[in-house]
Amino acid sequence: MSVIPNRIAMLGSSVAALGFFFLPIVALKPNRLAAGVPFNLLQLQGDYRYILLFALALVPFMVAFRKDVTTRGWLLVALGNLLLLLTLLLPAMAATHLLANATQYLGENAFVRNPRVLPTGGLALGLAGGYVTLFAGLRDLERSGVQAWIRAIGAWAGVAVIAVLLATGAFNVYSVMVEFHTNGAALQQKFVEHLMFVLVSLVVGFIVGVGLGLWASRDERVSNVILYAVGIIQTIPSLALFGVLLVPLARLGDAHFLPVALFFAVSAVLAIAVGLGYRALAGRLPSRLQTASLIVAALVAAVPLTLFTGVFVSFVYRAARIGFGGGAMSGLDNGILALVLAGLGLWVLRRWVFVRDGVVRSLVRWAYLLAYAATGVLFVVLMVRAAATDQFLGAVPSLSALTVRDLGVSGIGVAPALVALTLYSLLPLVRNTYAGLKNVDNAIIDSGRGMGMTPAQIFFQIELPLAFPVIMAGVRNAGVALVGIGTVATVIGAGGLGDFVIQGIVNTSIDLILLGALPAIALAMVLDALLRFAEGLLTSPGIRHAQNS
Amino acid sequence: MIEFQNVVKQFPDGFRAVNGLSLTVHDGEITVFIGPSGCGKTTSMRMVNRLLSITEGRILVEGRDNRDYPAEELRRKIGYAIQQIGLFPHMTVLQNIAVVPRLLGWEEDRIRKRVDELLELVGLDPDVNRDKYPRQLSGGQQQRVGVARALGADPPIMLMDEPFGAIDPITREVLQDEFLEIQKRISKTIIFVTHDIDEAIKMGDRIAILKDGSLVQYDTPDTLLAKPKNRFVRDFVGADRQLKRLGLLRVRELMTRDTPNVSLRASTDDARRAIEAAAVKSAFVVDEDGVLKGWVDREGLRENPDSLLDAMNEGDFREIGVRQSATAREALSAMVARGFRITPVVDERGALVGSITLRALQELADQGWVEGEQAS
Amino acid sequence: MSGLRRFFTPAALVWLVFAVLLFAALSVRETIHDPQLRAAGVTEASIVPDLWLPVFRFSPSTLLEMHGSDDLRVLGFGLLPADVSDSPNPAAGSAGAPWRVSLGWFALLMVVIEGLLGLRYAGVDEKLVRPLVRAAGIFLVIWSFYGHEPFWDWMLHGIFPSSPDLLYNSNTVISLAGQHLTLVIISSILTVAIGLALGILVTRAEFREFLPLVSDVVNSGQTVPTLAIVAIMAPIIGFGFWPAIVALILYGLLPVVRNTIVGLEGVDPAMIDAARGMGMTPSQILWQIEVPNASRIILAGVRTSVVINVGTAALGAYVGSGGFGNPIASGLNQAIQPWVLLGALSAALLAILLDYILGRVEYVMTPKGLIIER
Repeated sequence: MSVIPNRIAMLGSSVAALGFFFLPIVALKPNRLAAGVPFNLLQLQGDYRYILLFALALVPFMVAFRKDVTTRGWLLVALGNLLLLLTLLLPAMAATHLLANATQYLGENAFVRNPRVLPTGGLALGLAGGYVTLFAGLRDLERSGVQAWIRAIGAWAGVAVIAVLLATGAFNVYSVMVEFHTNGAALQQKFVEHLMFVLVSLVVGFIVGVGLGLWASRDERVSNVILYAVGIIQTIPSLALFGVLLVPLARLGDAHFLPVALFFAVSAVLAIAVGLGYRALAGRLPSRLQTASLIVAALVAAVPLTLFTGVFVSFVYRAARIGFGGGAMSGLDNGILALVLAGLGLWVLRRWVFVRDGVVRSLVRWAYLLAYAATGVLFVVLMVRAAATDQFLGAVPSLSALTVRDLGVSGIGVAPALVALTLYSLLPLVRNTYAGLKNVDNAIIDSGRGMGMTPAQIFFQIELPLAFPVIMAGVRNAGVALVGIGTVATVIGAGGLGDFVIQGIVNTSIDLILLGALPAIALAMVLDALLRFAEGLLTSPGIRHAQNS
Repeated sequence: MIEFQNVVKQFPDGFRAVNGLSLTVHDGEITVFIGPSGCGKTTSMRMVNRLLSITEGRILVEGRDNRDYPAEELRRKIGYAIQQIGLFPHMTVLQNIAVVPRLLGWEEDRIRKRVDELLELVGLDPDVNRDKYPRQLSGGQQQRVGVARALGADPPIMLMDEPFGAIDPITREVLQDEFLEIQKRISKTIIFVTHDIDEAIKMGDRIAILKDGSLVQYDTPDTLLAKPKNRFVRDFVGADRQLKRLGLLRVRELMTRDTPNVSLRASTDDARRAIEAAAVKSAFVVDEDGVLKGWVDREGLRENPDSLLDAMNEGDFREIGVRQSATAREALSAMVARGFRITPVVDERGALVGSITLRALQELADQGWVEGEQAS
Repeated sequence: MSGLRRFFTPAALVWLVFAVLLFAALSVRETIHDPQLRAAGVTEASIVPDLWLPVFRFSPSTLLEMHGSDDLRVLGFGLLPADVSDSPNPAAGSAGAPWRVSLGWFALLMVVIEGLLGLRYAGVDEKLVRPLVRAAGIFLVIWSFYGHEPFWDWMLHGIFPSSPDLLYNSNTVISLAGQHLTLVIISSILTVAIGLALGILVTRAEFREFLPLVSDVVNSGQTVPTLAIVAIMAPIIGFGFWPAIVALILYGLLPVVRNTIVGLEGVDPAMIDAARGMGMTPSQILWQIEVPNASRIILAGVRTSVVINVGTAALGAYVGSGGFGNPIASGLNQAIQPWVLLGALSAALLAILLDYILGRVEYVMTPKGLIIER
């Protein structure tokens, strides 16, 4: 059995070694703004360890030629992890020395105030090389049939150690960490803000998007219009969509609530009338006119729907901020969280723990259904109580004085961000719901019908479970995209992690940019992983296996 | 001529798919490679045009080691048709068939003429189908185009990997018959891979049975059926191999030509005499053109001694006779179905040309069986 | 009679209606409200633009020709050599140009063209000339509107009647469009070249082992916010055009590489086997079989990438690369809503326009045999 050398490992090794050799690994900055003095890895004085790191980068290249795939895999995994860890750790140790002698390196005239060490290209390439080497090792292990969970340990070992070291403050000399410590409280707040507007718009987008996708899958003519419309939304640049939304939302905010509510009511009636009219006429119109009339109907419905969504999302967002933010809700917020967890726990219990006793099983089932119901009720109560506080609607003297702005809608601020993000989440959700439902084998539905299932039973017991993984993939795509687009929302004053990025641009400070970007990347990845996990839990094992094989 | 000389194929993972294969594929013949899956039949075929490299040994194509040719040049002079057809969906039928001619740098006029010629050869109207796309064709039509494409540059050699495998049974029969007709005209040297023994018997001039990368038996279909070399071959060709073998023999070759027969105009006495002279139980009745009209037996003559017309059993030649071009198996099946011990053989017009008896067929089958037993 | 009906295809009819509207609007003279336009001596204009054909330099309607050579380069859509800037006032110069033609006439021309095409290809599924002619026509119309400031003045005044500022004060709409388009076109060309090469490379047998690595990087690259990519280039490369280009390429690569890989991997292996068996060389198989069959998916990736690039280019304003992000950013900073809306609408329009054009190109370039059904 002939074994070819692991060229991925060679690539990783080369990347790291070339980076260490040609690019500076850190730069010493006298203060936050001034340019730094770059240091090559081999220039770092005082210790042989830095030469060892360079040598370490070369080792995977040689390991790549080993014939025994399993050993080679483990070696590469170890080397990759080590490279990741040491690329971060060793320069940090050297940096202590650099900082202590800052004046010596920077010259007497430098304005040294709060000096810091900026990681630069060499370090980035070292990390990249470590990642590639690790990847190469994991491929080898996969090839030699090592079990997935063991590979996962290998994959995350280095990251775990780095995380521990990060917590103990081993990397505090790096400028990003300096900024982190300076802006710690702000970061936490921005992070929560970011998470909140991503989650709120994702939830609303989910409801609207899955609804639209469902409708589209039921009517071929509607599907063209809906898919086209959400496709168009997706092409609009985020900055432009924020800008376009600014004007109508500012105007909407100025309006009093009562006329706006009337407008919503009237347009809802109109929309229902148009829908019924379309239904009645659908068969009789020529096909070209059918599409045209649908587009008109969609446009008529889209404006109030968008506005209503905007108002609703903004209201929910603000209420949630107050409700979950301050602890002023006398434990209601914690109660909700506890109930959600309890419900989930019971559900998992019933699903995975084999309970033979039928009575116990149905008790557990009732218990978690009750927990969910209670969660819903409590959530509404929380919203209402949050709205009634003085920070929110409590300050408004009367209903007639209530403006839409009081509900949280304004041209600048979080409202356009929420609406835009909700709109952006539609394409992946609608498309995947549509595709998922469309791809359900007709023969399966037919056999369901043949067994005498009602349409609702067919939908909930056959179509939805089968389409579920595809829909969840849409949710994941939307979630990841929203975290990224959410950073842009800073420009319309919505806050979030983008604040740091823009500040970083203004100050030409990579540290601040990274302070915004790294948590955003982490958030996107964690969200993706969590949704993937939930998808795994909720997908029928039969479908899961079919997909894997 | 293609000659395998001790060919070995070992894959990188160590699997030895072909293990010392030696055989000669004769010019103008269809040689079928057959065997259970994993026997190395496709691997062997793919080494001929070097889609797979040869580990050991060599393959001579027209007397030269096929590694002496540049790979692409070699492949361009060997036609290639596969089960999945592999038509290029972005090209029209014409463009598909023209691929190899274009690779060889033919003139456009010549290509066009050649494509039309090939389409007609495979039974597709060039004017209707030339500019269609593969997705506009049925499966059978697609496979016809696939065969036409393999014949594109008139290669002397063709490799066919289960070319009719993915087609419904009825169309498959039709395509097989058509292809045999085509082969009569073009006489290519063909390696034909299949796993279907019936197809192999029908298509093959010679059949190579492979097992675990080695050649088990290489013979004509008749010999293979009559004298399976060992238990594996016997099992592989199936318990009904005697019947299958009958399928290879034409009635024309087996029938007795001097069959007792009488004219419609003849008297009952004439009929009785004819029967007695031949020492048989019955005689066939024909009209003045020799067309079979029925038969008459001793019992009938006894009951109606006066009129032959009353004494005979009437029957249309399509009902009671078998064509001389039919296989022995078809004759057997007809006899069993009708309960005859002897059946008349007719030509296309229905004229009586001979007869064949159940006993003769049985003996034929028994003889093969016994020989086969002895051989193993 | 039937000839006439074949002439007036739906597209021709739409163009006809459009032409009528344009001619009707031609008589509408609008009082200019924007202080700068007024300062430039324009107090009244038609809201209908003249046809903008940069190659021949006969757009008369951009009245704010104020930024000298640099803008002129952009005005020429990158096609004009820099030395045309010595013409003192292109606007004034071309105002009297004999070939000055209102957009209404162009729309009528499109009616004729669409009609003739309708006659020529009646009942035929023609997928080369018609889609491209239509896309070009629509592009010229929108580009003409970009080049006509009185139109934007009219529209913004309609939405913000009381606002003192209307048009962006430091650049014309058309030159912003030019900057934006230049960013997108240059980055997209590089993106497609690099992305296609990378995608093809890792699907070749020799480099296939790198495929999982590249897929992994491409997929996780999705989690990096565009703003962060744009932002991080500024401290590294500096402010201006190039950091934006690098960021655009980096982010634009993801869909191109991913779709190239998916497209090429999706090609039926039997087809490749047949091609090999027929004696095609690896490069012939790649370019004659694999790429055409994957073209639909690859082109969809290119389209996505270009549309994403339009959006990312707008963020380029924060690193000083110009484009429609500029009025949005300045407008947000200085709380001048008309600027925000001007930039936002123009950018959205540009994105939709490019998406449409690339959709047509995708349609034209996808082999017919892949679309056709029985």
